[in-house]
Amino acid sequence: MKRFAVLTLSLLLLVIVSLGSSVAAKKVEITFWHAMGAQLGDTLESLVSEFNAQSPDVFVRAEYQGNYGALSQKLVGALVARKPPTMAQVYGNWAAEYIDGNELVPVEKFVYGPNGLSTLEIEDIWDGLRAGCMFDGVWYTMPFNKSVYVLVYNKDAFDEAGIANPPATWQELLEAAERLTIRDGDKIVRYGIGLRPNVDIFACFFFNSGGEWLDAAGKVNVNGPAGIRALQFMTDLLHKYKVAYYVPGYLDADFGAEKVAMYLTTSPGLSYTEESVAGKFNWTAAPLPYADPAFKSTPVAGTDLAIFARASQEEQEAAWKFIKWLIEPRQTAKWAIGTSYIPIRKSAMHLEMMQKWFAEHPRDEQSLQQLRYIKYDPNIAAWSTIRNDISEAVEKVFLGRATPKEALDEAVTKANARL
Amino acid sequence: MSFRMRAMGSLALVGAILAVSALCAGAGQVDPDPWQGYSFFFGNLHSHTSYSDGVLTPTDAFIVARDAADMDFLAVTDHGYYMQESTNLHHWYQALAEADAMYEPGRFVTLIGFEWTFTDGHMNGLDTPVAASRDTHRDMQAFIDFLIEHDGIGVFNHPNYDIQPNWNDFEYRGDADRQVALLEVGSGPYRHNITNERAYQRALNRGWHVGAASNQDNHRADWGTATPARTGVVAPELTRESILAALRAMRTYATEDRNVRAFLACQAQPMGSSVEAVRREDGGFVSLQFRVLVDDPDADDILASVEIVSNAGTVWRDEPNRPGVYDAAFELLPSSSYTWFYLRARQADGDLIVSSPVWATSGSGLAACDLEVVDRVPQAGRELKVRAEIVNRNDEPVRGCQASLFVADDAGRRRVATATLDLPAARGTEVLFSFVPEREGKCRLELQLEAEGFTGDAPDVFVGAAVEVRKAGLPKIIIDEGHNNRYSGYMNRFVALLADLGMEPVASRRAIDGEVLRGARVLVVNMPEEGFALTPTRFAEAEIDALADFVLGGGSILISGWSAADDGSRDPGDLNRLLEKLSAAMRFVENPEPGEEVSAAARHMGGVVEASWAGGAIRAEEARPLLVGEGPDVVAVACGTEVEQPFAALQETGQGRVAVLAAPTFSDYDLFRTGYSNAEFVAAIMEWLCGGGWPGR
Repeated sequence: MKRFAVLTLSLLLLVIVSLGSSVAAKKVEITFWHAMGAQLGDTLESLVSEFNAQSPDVFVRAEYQGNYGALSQKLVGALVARKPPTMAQVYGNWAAEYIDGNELVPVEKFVYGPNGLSTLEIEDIWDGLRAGCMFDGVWYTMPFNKSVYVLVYNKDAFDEAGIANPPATWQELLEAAERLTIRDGDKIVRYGIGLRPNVDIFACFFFNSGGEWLDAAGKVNVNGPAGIRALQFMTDLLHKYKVAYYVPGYLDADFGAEKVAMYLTTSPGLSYTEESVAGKFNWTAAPLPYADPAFKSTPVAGTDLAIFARASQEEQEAAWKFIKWLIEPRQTAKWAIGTSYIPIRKSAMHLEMMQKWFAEHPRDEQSLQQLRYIKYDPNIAAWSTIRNDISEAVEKVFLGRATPKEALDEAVTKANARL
Repeated sequence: MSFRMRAMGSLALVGAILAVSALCAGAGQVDPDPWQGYSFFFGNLHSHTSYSDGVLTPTDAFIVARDAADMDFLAVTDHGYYMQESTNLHHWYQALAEADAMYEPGRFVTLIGFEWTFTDGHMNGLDTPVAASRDTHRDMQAFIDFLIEHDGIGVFNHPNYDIQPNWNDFEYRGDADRQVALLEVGSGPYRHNITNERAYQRALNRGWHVGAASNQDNHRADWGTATPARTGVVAPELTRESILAALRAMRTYATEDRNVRAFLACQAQPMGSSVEAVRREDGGFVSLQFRVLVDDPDADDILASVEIVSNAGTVWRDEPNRPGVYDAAFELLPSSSYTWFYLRARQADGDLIVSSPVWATSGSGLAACDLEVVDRVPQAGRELKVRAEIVNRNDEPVRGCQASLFVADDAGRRRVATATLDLPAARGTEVLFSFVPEREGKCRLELQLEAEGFTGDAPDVFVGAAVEVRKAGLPKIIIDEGHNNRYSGYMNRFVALLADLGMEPVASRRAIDGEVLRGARVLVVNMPEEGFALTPTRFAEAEIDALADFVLGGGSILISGWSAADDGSRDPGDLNRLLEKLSAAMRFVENPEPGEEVSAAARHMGGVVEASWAGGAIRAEEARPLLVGEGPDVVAVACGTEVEQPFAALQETGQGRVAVLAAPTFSDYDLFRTGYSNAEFVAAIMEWLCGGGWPGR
């Protein structure tokens, strides 16, 4: 009797297990490598779960690989071992490298395929973001977690200094920074603005000075008048006017501690700012100031989604189904709300949840104001190294070791040798 | 006190060597164990694995450090933010488990810590049960509270002023000082990695009690093998408890040699200790007994020099130039009531060894630093401001502290100013004095502190910078920065040069009028820059008139061009109008042809100019060429007479003198550079403008 019960139970289990596996077998399982930790990861996981629950034929296994550095290392390793995931988050210059090795499937193969996107849907993706996914005229990747830079400022400090509006121009930025700087004899208690000696913060000034990374011949062009003017202006804020200071690391804590009254950050950086400020004062965000209205722009940061060529046809199509779902207005809105990244679809802005969110979070809307003006890094494989060349130049000038022209000339010589 | 010694002689020279008796190995040595029973262990307290942004695992790291690098201990200190709940918390516990598995008391000590990466500066935490990160502990206070909660050991990582603000330049905070035991005097995977001595001295000056470490910060599979540099730990045995206790006690040294033993003792207390600085009745200090031991087991490692460095500079030095055991005993005087001493040894192959300090203090818990004049050019008969920072290292505030400023010179020691201060607990306080020096000449500043219940019978005395008081009435050099013409941040070296020349530089941001120019000998004007500015970018007509009146009436002016880049950023029009009013024969070229400015400036760089400027090279990165016409009033054209567009021209006009430069060779970028200096050229111009002759004429 007892033996019979055990046997029945075992049979039952066997049936359940085989049933389970046969259900799973119906779905194509794909792997998605990403670098979204903490709150960003939670939002992504919940979207993936939602997709998995509603998709009849695709199961996405989202795998967190650590930060971008770790993701990049693991992707390179996996490509060498010929075992890449089905899809992953990639920066433009990573993608350029993978494309050189024929490792990616152009996403346009699916966009224009039978289960693709309509012209209206394609045009609903912000033009600048789409343009950043083109490699030699071929649409390879899909914009995903994109952010733009904004000027974060201490609203209370602005009120105390009698500054009514956020600075729109560099002249206004300089004047605001001067008025926000609190001096006590030789010491500076609070600086007007905080800077970082890297290529991204430089880009915030370079683009707004009319700069383009590459010239018509495809050569790095950062040492022209726009680059010199931008770097000189940043250096002047630091050394000539002494209304700025710089640190290599993140500035949200310094802003929260009221050591600086303004700084530049990406839209997801706003959540860190919120944590650092912790209600001690009112703050908000504004578009980046420009040297001339004609140059109004912002760098766009963040990664895109790529599908790897080693995946089977079936897996590639499954990945596309997931991507297509992920960029639907409702999902992109959820993603934006959960992460402060920008919704990549224009129509997402009209969704009720998005409008409600912006009404409650006016700071996040500032990012969107800038979407019309975005500029992005060149999609060339050498760019990640060239970024270091430019960062080095910025740091050298901040340290007073070279004039902007000298440092940028040097960076351009190095950079063009890498192309 | 048990180590109170008899007074030695009556030498009053503070910080001087009283007696030196270098003892060679064995010669006259009676101490049975000068090493005090300690053993010496070598390792690395800062490294990464793939649990953050490095490679492989802690187990791999321990094996490489133990077997390939022959180290005695290794701390794996991955970035905290990689090991948080939201990311990979299990990595932290996995690392601890791996460390336990690899720990072999007596053979190899394994430690797990973490690196906390904050903008003020990165820090390592050791001996804590969990890791903190910049995401969970978002400012310095939160991190220090974390260390206090877990009684962890803090380390100031790579305190390089070029890469981080170094915790607000090591602003003192007592709670942190109790937890932070070490500072990376050496950092990074480089052979000669001891590059942070400046930061080390700054931290010590500002009251921190931190010892010396040299760590590798490995991000590759080169734990310990990247460089011979190591943290040396002086401990009784090779166990975790013993190593951690030695780190807390600062019985450490930073070494670029893999196995040299170095030991510093003061009053028989090992490095990391504090001893009492005892005052004699005559106000001086009782001398302290020092013992230095250096021993490299490698016969070909020659000990080149041995120094004792303190807040008074290098106070003791020997050059043994031989291998083997080095043993020296000598006596030194504390320079102040808070004096630190550390050992710095150099081997013939360039390897540097820096020990943790010993501190000699009065026991008051007070320290002082930065005792210096605020004014750039002290002058007799003119008010002089002096500042100092007083650090109260006690856990309680010091109320009613009497701070007195003394000036010591050939004529004796005089109290010149006093202040009564309340010093908050465990913090630094700035004090500002002002007084009028009566006589010119060299003197020394001293700060004396008296605080009831703290300073005891004798007041604390701290010695500051030597000061040269100049005679009254130095030529006043006004540098205009009221026209967006780059003074701040661009003229620091020029201002220092003027002070050295016995001139008094004064910056002025006001509109130029007779009042601003009153009493001035020379006015320095750089060509204004158009564009983003906080001051006007043009000279008003009335300003140009005032400048012309000043020069024609006997004043001097130095006018410098700047960029000739054809971007409209600088317009020489106003300055050319001034030159016209001065009947000067030179003008700035208004619109240089593209390329013209380059050739004109290039012709005056380096060798070409030497022909007419005997003093050396003149170089400037950017220049706006000059045109110099014929004229009887041109008394000297400094250089470039043979070319149409010279770099510099001088002329006497009316009662005054005018000098015009194509570019500011006196800017911070151009005054001193690798391979050349414009200082002599600039000095010649300034002296000529003050009424002197032109060299060679």
